Amino acid sequence: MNPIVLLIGSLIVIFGIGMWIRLSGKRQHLGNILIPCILIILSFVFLVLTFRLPVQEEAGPALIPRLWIFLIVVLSGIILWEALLGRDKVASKIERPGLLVLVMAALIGYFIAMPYLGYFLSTFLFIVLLLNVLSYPKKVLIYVIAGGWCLASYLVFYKLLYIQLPLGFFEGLF
Amino acid sequence: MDLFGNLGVAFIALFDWQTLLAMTVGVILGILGGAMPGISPSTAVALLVPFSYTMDPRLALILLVAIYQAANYGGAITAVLINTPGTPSTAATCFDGYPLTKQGKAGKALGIALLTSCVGGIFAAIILIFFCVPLARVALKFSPAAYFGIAIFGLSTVASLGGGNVIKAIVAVLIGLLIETIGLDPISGVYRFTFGSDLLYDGFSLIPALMGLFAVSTVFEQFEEWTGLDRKMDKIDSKLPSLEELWKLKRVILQSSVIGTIIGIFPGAGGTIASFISYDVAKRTSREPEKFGKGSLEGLAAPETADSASVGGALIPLLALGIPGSATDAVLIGAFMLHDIVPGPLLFKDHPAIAYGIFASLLVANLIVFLVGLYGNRAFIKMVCVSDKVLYPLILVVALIGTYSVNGSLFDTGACIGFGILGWILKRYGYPLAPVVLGIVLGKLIEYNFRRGLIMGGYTVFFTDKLAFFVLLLGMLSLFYPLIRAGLNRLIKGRQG
Repeated sequence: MNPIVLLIGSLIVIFGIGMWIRLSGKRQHLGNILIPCILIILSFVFLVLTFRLPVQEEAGPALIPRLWIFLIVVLSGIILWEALLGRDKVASKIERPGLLVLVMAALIGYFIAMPYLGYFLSTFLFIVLLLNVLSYPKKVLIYVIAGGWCLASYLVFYKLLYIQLPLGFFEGLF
Repeated sequence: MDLFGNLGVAFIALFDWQTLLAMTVGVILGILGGAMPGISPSTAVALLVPFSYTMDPRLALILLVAIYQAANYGGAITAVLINTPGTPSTAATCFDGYPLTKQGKAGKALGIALLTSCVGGIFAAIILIFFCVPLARVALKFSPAAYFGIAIFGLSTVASLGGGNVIKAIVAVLIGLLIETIGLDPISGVYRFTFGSDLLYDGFSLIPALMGLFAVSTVFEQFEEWTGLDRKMDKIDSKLPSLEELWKLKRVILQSSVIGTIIGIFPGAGGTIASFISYDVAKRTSREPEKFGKGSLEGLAAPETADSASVGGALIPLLALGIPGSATDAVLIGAFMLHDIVPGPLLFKDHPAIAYGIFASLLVANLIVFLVGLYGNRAFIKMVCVSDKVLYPLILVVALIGTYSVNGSLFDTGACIGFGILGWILKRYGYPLAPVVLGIVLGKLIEYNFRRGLIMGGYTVFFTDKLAFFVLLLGMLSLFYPLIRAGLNRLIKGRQG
């Protein structure tokens, strides 16, 4: 079976379990139930993949991963059982979910933009964006901080340590 | 000339301006390099090796060893102040160092990290001087089965890192262990769990995992309950710990020095394992184990001492047998070769000035680390006084550039973000992160030595090899005793309820 198909299938199952928990009376235990379910499902995906590994008499490449998988499944099962019985501690409410999602999205966007815009421009934009989102009061200082960090990282990492930071579209200029 | 004669000559040679300058520069560069996430001690040393080519060999090696020693303290600075381990071996320093900073005791935390680091380094240097050759021979007697036992002993620290829920701690360590199986199998050469992507051929590096799990996830956690107001720290105290506080740590410092030196001797074991084991032992032997993870001075002193002591330990097999005890040692061998010197048994006969010069310089370098750190700490503490609105975005940026610096790979940067999100989710639902790091650190050591032991002697080798059996038994007892005790406590509580 294609590993990607397996992974997509697992994600669909996980999504289904998540929806079921939300619609049932156990919504506040969503994370506590979903995490061990995810661990068990992903463990089974990894277990299926171990059957594609070559078999050796002793000490084959599948031996240790299967041991870890077995232990994860058993212990996650215990955690899941406790969560279903409502014995697990409920996670605290996220006060600012919107801000958190925005920061995560900005970080992912920064990572995606880096190969195209280059490290320096994408970092400058990322710092400016975050400081504005966090309402840093001194607007001019935002640009000074962002520019200062880019300059410092250029001098230290690029020039002194010879770390080839991605330059993106600006590659030909340097 | 005998040991003391050679040592005396080496000390006298040490106190000329060029040697002192080389050591001071090495210490400063080591601290700065260690503090920068992504620049490990081996990287810091490797970067300076070419510059040492034109130097006198003795001076060059003293400079590089000073960098090596100082980099471990450098890593502790960012670990304590912003929960971002500068080097992998300072991950355990975050557990109690950062909580102390959050309590406004950054000065005390850095002071303890500095002092215990220096004491650990000096202890290991003394052991190196007097027991270099015999200890190196003992280390070589350890078979793969015995190494497996040491790794299991390292795994037993999971019980100390677990906080309240031991089962979730074990699942966390298993997640780390399973992640470490991704990529090339070191024994059969087969690719495992790569999903057809060549990006996963080398698996996940330790640095992206560390940066993500510690630094990035902590920033996400802060944004969960963001109020827009800066942290209310009455005052960031830059006061050093008192003599009374330091005296109370004497037992922890001594035992951690021993642990760090011994673990450091074994090739491949290293400061990371030494610091975790030391933390665990300190917690189990402490009168106040409940304070660990919440700003315990013992919890900070133990890993820092062991980490620093492991440097001297790692130099033992290098100098006595020419075998690198750590990644940085492997770089140092390159430096030795560059100067046409072969480390090993003949080093003491053919180049006594260099061998004993390194011994003497290790002692003095630790004193220089203390002096530089003492004055530098006041500047480092300013880092924490910066507004959170500036600090957290910069932590994210530092974590990403640090991760990129390791291999020049954007994949590592993406992995760092992925680990950050994973770490935030796990922490939110009560799964501790330290065991995940422990699993990643120990994964290859456990699997590689277990399978090598099996190939060499079958399953019985773990019983017939006396050294392996003893170490394994110790490790198993250390691992299962807290679990059995936790299980019994639950049973008793259940019956009483």
